[in-house]
Amino acid sequence: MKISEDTLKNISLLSKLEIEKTMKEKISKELESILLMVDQMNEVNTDKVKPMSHPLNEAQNLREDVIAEDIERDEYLKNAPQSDEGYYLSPKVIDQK
Amino acid sequence: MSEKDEYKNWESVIGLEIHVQLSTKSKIFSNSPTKFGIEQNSQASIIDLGLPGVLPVLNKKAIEMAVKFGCSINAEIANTAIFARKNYFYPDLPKGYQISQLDDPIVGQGSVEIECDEEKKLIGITRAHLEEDAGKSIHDKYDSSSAIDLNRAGTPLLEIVSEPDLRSAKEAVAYLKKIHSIVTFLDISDGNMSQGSMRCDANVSIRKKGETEYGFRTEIKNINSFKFVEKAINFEISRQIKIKETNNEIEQETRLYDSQKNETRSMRSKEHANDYRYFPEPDLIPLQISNEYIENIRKSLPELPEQKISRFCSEYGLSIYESEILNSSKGMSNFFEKVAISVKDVKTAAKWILGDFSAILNKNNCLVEDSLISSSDLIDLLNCLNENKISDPAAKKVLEILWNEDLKVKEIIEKENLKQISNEDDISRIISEVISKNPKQLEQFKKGKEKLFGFFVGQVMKTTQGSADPKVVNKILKEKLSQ
Repeated sequence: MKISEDTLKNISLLSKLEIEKTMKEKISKELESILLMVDQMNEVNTDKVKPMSHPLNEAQNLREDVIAEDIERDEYLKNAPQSDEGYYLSPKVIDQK
Repeated sequence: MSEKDEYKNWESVIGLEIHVQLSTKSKIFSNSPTKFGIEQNSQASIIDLGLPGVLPVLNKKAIEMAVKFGCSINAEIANTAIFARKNYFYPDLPKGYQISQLDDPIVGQGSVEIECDEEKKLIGITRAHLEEDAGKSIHDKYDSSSAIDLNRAGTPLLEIVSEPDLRSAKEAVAYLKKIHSIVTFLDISDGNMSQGSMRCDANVSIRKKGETEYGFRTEIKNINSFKFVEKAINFEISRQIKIKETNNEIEQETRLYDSQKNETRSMRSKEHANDYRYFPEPDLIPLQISNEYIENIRKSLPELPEQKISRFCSEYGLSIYESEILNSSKGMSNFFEKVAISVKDVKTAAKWILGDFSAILNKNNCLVEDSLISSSDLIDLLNCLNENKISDPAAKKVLEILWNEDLKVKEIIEKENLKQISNEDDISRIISEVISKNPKQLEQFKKGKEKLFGFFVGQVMKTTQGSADPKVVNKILKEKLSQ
């Protein structure tokens, strides 16, 4: 399958990754090769194989509903480019007009 | 054509997606607390923040609560449930994806019965799945930034998706109330809509009556009260009818309800249509739920509103109407039962709880859980009534004072001198006094002016400051006046 210019643009938009002009062709090719591999896998007849959602054949470990008070907010806030009064700040986003 | 005629040709088709915050102590994938209204970001742990290298670990209690809900709507519970990543980019979702479920949700198809306009109707529930809540963005605090509070991020949500079985805004409200009562009686959520513990999105479409195909639907987001559900849906139905009646097409889109303007408006632009790119969550292995576990939960389910309503009727001799109102909330239901087991006359207790007690709660805009009158106070009061120690009007007064002052029933009766006089000798003596003081009225009464009976009752009550037992007064007064 060919990765069109539009598809590449959409992928870039969804992943929030800017793709430089000079990289476009290279990345398209790489993505195409991934799809090729998927096509190859699709050729295998899996009619009798039960779909799996995880490669580990184990049951999930569960946690007791217990709280821990080890939150160091001010430490965590230091990781953010911008914060104020205990809030993380992001560029203004408004979903509605 | 009038608006009403237009409505007649159309049928609305509604489905609800209800998000219920589960009342676990800790979050669904981390051990940070889930309290409401505490200092910003003080309960957002490194897992909730989605810092690199952290792993989610599923909360046992959230599973138990979801299974409880599933059992109570007679749904099939998955033996293997799978979590999925729903990818979207928004600052209040720090990981860049929400852990949710797509295929194999924990709760499969089930149903609930609703009653609307005295008609019963079965509403299908497609599924209910577990997911994590997002944080909150505050847009008006800073000029050029949005402030992000991630305290809510990771709070467990049960998303309950109904079939498009609802045909009016009223039915949608009845359904929402039903789900609200189930989750609160199960004690899996506090159901507090104003704090966002329960939110709902409505999918609304219309079609010509008799048609079987569905029309294009719009999704109204984040409606947070029973009243707004009804208003938002009704607005949307008439908006769609107007579009159709002028031969235009309805756009499939997400709309936001503005409760101040009572309208819905388009929320997301089309060019960036959401593409969630779901895939199985690699950080969580499939969840195995054994039949034994499910059966144990099924067996230990608490009594649900429907069962309580019929039990209240048979056990306490209440009417269906009384039982229904007493079971409209878990708090009220529990309060009533606490009182009911400690009084001699349960029907009178129901009458007082539904009447004057509820009136005081409403007047003070207060939930029964926060009532300033305790169940033991009310029990004392009802027992005094039952033993004829006070009259009905006096009991009303006591109730008011109980609310406003920190006093016990007996103290109030003493202080306000509300003790009822039901001793026949005492009342007889007072009546004799009243009669001898009013010879004119007595004469007129004897001549046939029977209305004056009321006058004498009034005089006795005045003399005793309303504390004479009216039944005894009536009886003795009749005897004395006919002498």
